[in-house]
Amino acid sequence: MSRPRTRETLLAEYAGAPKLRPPVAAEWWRGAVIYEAYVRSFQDTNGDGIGDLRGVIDRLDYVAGLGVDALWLSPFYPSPQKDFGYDVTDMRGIDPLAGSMEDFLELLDGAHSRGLRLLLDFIPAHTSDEHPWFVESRSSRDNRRADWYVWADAALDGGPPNNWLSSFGGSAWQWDPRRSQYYYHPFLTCQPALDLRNPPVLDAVIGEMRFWLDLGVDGFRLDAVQCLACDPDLRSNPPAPRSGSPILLGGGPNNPFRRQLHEFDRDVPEAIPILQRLRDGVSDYEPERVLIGELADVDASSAAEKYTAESKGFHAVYDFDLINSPPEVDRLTRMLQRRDSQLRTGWFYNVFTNHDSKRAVSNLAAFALDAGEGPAAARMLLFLQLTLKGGCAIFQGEELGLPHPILPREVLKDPWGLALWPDFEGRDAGRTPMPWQAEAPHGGFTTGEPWLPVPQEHLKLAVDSQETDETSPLTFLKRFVRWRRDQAALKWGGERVQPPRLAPLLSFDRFDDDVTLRCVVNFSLEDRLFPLDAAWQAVEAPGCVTELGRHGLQLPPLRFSILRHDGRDR
Amino acid sequence: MGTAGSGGHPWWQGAVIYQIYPRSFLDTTGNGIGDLEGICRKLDYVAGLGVDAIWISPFVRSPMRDFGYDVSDYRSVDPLFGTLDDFEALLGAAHRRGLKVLMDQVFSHTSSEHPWFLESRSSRDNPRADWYVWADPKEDGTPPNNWLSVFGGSSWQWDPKRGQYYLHNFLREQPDLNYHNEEVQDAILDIARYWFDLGVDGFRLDVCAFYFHDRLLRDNPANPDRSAARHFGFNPYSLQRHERDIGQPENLRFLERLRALCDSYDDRVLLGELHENEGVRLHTEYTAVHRLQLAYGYWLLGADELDARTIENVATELGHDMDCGWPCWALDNHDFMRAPTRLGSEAASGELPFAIFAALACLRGAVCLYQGSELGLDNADLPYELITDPYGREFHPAFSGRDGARTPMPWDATQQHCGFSSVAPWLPIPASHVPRAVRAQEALPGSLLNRLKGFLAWRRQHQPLHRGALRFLPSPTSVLAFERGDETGAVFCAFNLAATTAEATFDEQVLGHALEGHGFGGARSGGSLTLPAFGAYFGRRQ
Repeated sequence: MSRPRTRETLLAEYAGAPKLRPPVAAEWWRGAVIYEAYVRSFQDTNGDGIGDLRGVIDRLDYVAGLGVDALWLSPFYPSPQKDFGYDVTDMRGIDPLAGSMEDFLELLDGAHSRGLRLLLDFIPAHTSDEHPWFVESRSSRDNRRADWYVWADAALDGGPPNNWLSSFGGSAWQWDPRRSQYYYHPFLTCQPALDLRNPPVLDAVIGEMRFWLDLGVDGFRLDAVQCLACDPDLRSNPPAPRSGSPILLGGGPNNPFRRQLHEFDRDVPEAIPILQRLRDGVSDYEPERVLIGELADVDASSAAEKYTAESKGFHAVYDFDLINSPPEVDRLTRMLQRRDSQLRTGWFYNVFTNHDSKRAVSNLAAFALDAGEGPAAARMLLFLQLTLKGGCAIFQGEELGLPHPILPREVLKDPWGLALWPDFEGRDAGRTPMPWQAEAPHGGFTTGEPWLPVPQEHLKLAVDSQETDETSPLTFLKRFVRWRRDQAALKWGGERVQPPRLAPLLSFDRFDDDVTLRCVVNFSLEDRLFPLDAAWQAVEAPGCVTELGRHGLQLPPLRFSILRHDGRDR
Repeated sequence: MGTAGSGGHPWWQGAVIYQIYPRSFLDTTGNGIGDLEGICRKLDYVAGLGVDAIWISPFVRSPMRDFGYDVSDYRSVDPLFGTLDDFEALLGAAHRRGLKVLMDQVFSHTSSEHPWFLESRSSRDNPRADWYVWADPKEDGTPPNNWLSVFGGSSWQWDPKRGQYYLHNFLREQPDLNYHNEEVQDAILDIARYWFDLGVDGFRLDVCAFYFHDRLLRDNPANPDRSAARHFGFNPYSLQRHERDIGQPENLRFLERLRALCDSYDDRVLLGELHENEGVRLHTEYTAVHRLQLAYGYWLLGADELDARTIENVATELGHDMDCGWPCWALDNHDFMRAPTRLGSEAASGELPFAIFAALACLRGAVCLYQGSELGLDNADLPYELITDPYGREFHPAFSGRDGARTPMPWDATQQHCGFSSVAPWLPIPASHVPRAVRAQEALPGSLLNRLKGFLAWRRQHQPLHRGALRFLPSPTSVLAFERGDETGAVFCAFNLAATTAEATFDEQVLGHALEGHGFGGARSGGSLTLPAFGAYFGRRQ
């Protein structure tokens, strides 16, 4: 017998809100905070200017000290490094640049012994063109792996089979003179797409994943799952409307990739059985291993649900809505509303910054940075990230509130940026090395020459100077993450975003059956009043404004607050 | 002067033009790359071959993405090769030896580092915004049309700053100049004038059918003739008929402007490179009166096998007018696999290519001799790691590019790196080239090198072979037989292009009296000729 539904439940259902699920320990990933280490830029221990696994080992105490639940490592597999590890030649190995398998096992044990789960970055849908699978596949039209990648004959006029573009620039098809056919590469030419619709290919990929899971890895961040499949008929994409693509796409305002609606090369229906097989292929592990898919180049708000519904595909996706969001608070609010309304039984992660993006402080809070309020802005964004519905992925340096540096053209390394500069500066500026010590050469990242410079403006924000500062973003993050651990409503609860007319205030409620928490953020450089009635009480959370006036909450610039009342709704 | 005819005939009619690839000729600075000073030091060797002119592949300033065929400054010598003073010294030294000097001019495109292009790409409204071929993307963001690059992929490259595509028929680092813009034509003519003023005797015009493109940027049609695709099947470029991207009618008017400039100097010459498609039609148009004096197509360069009939058919198609339509024959150059390898096992010894070269030298036209061909060098087979040619790197292993024909000259097998350089050269000298080095062949009376010198010296004495009218005579399959005649008489030529002895019968009158001293060993008995393998007979009548 189901218990009688309360008015609140009815209202929630009417509003389209999902049924609230009670916290389940096994579902740690729902409300988890994951820390992303971009290994190449985290900590170098051998003086070659490139971060390595031993560097991560050396910094495990730091990561554990943040209070996060899991550590996600960017790819460290053997790779020609054309796309800095996202072009893999052996999915089971360790690139000598990163270290050895012994290093990895030590890292895994070290993470587990500190209560950290370890997630690997796994690239299921493409390899390097130097991967033995591709070397064999391209060698002829009739070898064992001839159909392991997406091959197609030329059009009659010799051109590529359709109009698909690489998001990194140029056609997504590359001619191969051995087979006299084109192969498909949604990203770089050296990153041919696997044909995961071909069962032996998918089996092989699952086999590679199981290798790591057998070693004890807790799950994967899966790269670019919008490209798990492409249209089997290779139909051309329609052009985007003149008003522009409805989706926020990277690569700069002029990128030709934006001129198409990616109906047939991204997020196609054929991907769904593939992701379900990926999930089934790893579902026998105890405890359960987690799959978090990266979903880019699509309308993630609407797509997230089908990738994660009923937790049958991926456990969660993370997307670029927050990364690519325009900074205007009303637009941000509208986007959050839409995101919340589309997701029903699925789950997502909130990502403000990652190794592919501009650093959020410089994107969403540039106005504050300009006013010299970088640390306050960083705290505000961390607060937002840790209170919005969904999991939370923090990119290294975000806890320090690092601003996005401007790098000169000469130091750029990212092939995407080199292809589209100056319309798009690429991803290097978000990947500069971690500043550990304000006074040490290169911020203590390396004793050699770092592969990308450590920006001067990052040094004063180095870890060692923030650790002793009570008001630093780092200190705030540590305290807030600890406090948040016991806040079931924040980790598992529902969400209701308040209307955009509140801008520059941003407010949303997080609720479960016991409590409603109203989060309010002042996204401006002026004091703002948020009217409240007497039913609300301020929550004593780290960094939050707790004084309530007669008319409500008076929020100073860039400050935030949590208010509560008992019960699920009012 | 190294002229053939008397009576003021243009020197280039019947000329033998020796092509020098400077990067691989002789290194005097010890950097593994040949230079102008190296050419200077070997001018006696070149003059000693009995040639009339040298054509030097590009030596002007370049980032060397395409080894000089990507020019960033048309008026200065690349430091790799030397200085402008070095070039003037070379020019003077060549002239003193009676050698004309042709420069390789790459006018179709520049390097992407040329200041013109840097300015052109900087915005849509700078003074040189229209100097290159810029176009908006299609509605779906893709390139404006289906044109393909010879070197692979679309011939349109996206430029993020202008938010437009630019045209490049070759590498993306080789943007195409927009010849529909008169300012561009004028700028190019200024460059031509600059070198003519310096005393250069003419230009070899790189891909001169590529200057203009269809203004409306219409698609090329698919190529229904898939047999053409067989030869270049590795390259999708062969799947289109290149009706719109190259070979445009507007080009003729520009060639006339260039010729008019050329004619404002004494006896200078323009030698055009034609491309694969429609070579005969282009040859007819481009070498018409008031356009180019000479042009070469890929008829023989691109052939994997050559026989007498093929050569006869090409020569026949090109026509025999006296005042225009002069072909420049070429069996080898820096863009094609060397003939001893390309023409199959029968050619490996170098005898067949030598016989073909001799035949070409006797046909109406001029003829190119590519460095190393006089030694019978075969094509180098390089592993992928050593391949530097971007064309080869793109299409490997179906096509290994052009490095195999560009390895350094073997001068002297007793010296390190065959005397080419004191250090390891930019491309290795293949082992098969070592026994064929210049010094060894010079010492060997019957060597290809000495036979070639002897033949060219012999040929020089026979004026009809330079300028005479051409008439083919019916002959057995393996034999190429023709007559060249002018006011001084006629020379009959018969070449056996097979590895076995050939017999042929002709009208005794046509055969004339047998000429000696050419070194090809044919014998006559009445109206019957006996031609040994790769041999020839020459006869003269008044």
